[in-house]
Amino acid sequence: MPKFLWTARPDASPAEDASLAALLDGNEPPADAGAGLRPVADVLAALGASPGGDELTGLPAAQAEFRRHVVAPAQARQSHRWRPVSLVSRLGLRLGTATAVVVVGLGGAAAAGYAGALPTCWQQFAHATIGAPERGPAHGARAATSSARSAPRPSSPHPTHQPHSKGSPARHASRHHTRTPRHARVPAVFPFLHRGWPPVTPAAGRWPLPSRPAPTEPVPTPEPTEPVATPDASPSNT
Amino acid sequence: MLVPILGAVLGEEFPAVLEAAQRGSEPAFTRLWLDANPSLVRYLRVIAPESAEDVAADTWLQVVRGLRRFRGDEAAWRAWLFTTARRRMIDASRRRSRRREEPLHDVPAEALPLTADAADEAMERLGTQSAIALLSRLPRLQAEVILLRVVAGLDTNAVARLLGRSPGAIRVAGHRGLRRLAEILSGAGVTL
Repeated sequence: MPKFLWTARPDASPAEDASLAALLDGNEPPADAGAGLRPVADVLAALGASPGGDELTGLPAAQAEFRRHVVAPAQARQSHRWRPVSLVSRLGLRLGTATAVVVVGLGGAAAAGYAGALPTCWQQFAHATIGAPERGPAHGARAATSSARSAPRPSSPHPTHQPHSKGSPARHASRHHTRTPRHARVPAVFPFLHRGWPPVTPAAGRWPLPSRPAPTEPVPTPEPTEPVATPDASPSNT
Repeated sequence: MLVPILGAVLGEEFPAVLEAAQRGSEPAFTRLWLDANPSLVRYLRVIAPESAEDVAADTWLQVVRGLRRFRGDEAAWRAWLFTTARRRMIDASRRRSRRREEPLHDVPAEALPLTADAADEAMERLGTQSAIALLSRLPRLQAEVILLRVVAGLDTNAVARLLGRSPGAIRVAGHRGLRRLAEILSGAGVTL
C-alpha cells in the first residue's frame, strides 16, 4: 500500500473554504466562520480603504498624458470633420437665398412673358425659349404665316383654331398632332437646360418647324386607256 | 448574507464613463483614474515596493495610449490595467538590475523630507500600510493572488490568465495566503 507523502489538512473544512472564498470575493465571512478569520477580514478591509494623499499624486501627470494622446487627436479629428460642414453652414444660407431669388426672378419673368408684359426684345426671347406669346399686331401676320406652315395638313378638329392663341407650343402641338419643338419640351422655368445657350430656334418664318410630314396626295393611278378607236379603213364595218 | 467590505467601483456607470473618456472627456478619465489608481498603487507596493509610483505612472501612460482601442466591461478594464502594470513592473525590475541604485535606507533620516502633514497622514494611513506590510510577508504568489482578487476585484479566471496559471492553482494559492495571514495575525497579536 503506497504511503502518500501528503495528507489533507485536519483543520481545513468545507465551511472554512467557503469563508475563505467569501473573503476573496470581497465579502464579510459568514457569521459561523472561525474566529481567526475576523482579523483577516479587517486586513482585507484596510486594503480597500479610501485613498490617501500619496496615492493621488500621479493624477496631474496622467491628465497631461491624456490631453496629449487622447484630447488633442480627438479635437484634430473633429476640426477636420466639421470644416466642410461649417463651410456648408456658412454658405448654405447665402446659397439658398441666392437660389430662391433666382427662382423667383425667373418665375416672375416667365409670368411676365406669358402675359406679354416684357420689353420687345425680351418678349421675343421669351417667345423663342419658353413659348410665350408674341406681342403686338405687327407680329400677327408673321405668326399667322408661321402657323400656316407649321399647321398640320390633316383636317384639324378645330377648323377655327387660332394658332398661338393660348397655351404652350407643346400643348398646341400635342393637340394638333405635331411634333413638339425641342425647345418647348423642356420646362419653361429652366430654359438654360437646353443644349446650347441661347437655344437655337428657328426664327419664325425662316425655317419651317419640324412637323409631321404633310401627307402626300395620292397619285392618281393612270386609268387604263382604252385603245383609241381609229377609223377603220376596211369596208367590213359598214 | 454577504456584505461587501470594499468600496463600490463604477458599476453601471462604467460604460458611459469609458465612452466619454475615449472621446476626450478629461473629467471622465479622471474618474477612471481615481477609481483604479489607489488599488493599482497598493498592488505595486507589495510586488514592487521600491518603484511602485514609477511603475504606476508608466502603466497609466500605456493605458492612455491604448484607451481609444479598448473594448470591454469593467472587469476587462481592470484586468487590462493590472496586466499592463505587471508588465511595466517586470520591465522596471530588469532596468533596475542593470542600473545600480542607492538604497533608500542609506540616506540619513534627517535628509528625508517630512512635514507635519505627512506625519498626520502617515498615522491615518497606518491601517493600509500595515495591511500592505503584512501581505509583503506572504509568499509572492499568495500575496499577488490576494491583492488581485480583493483589491483589484478580478475573478479567479482573470487572475489565472494574468499570472499564467490554472484557476485551481489560483484558488489554492489564495486560500493558503489567507490561512497564512490568519496564522500571522493570531500568532503575532498584530492589531490594525
